[in-house]
Amino acid sequence: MFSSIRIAMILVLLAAAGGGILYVKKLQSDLETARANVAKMEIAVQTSEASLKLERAETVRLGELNNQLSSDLQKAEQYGDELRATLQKHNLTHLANKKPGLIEKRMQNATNKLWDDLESITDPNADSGVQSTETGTTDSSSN
Amino acid sequence: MNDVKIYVVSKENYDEFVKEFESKNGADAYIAISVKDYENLALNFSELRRYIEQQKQIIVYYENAVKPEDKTDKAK
Repeated sequence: MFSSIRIAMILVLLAAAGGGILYVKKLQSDLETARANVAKMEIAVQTSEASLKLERAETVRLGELNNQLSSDLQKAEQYGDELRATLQKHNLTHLANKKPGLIEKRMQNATNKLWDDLESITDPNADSGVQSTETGTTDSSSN
Repeated sequence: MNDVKIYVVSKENYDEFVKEFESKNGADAYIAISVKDYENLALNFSELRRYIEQQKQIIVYYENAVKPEDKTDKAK
């Protein structure tokens, strides 16, 4: 009777020990899985942070480009503004009547400068890097 | 660009202009334009110039916008 109880207790102890070992092994397995998941999450977070950083840098870069474009578009208005101011300032009809020779020289110089400017801004070899088709002839003959 | 010769003619220099023009061009036919229309022509050209310059700037903007970052940095 006493030995049967002792055997039963030993069996219970062994079963408890076996269950404990299995439980610990399962805990270790869960821990490994959790560690692997944490590593994956860390990589995902790093990737997201890198993407966010790149996106922010790109936003800043495009903002600067937008500001530069606005400034350049504004500069392009300068020539027309100056011309309008000049035409409003001077009465060309009156000046042409009084001093045709002087006005002729100024008009000729301004026109020549305009041709030069147009040639320059449509030059495919200019530093802007914008390509264009062949410009007009270099024939200098005129009436 | 081809050169364009401009003559400004008033009563004061009309005779002189006719002589000079005929001696240079061998004919007395010419195209006249009023001062106001010359101003309009100049303003029209200034608009064309503005348009060309702005289109160039927009093209440059898009070229820079799609350029990879490292190349952009080198360009700066």
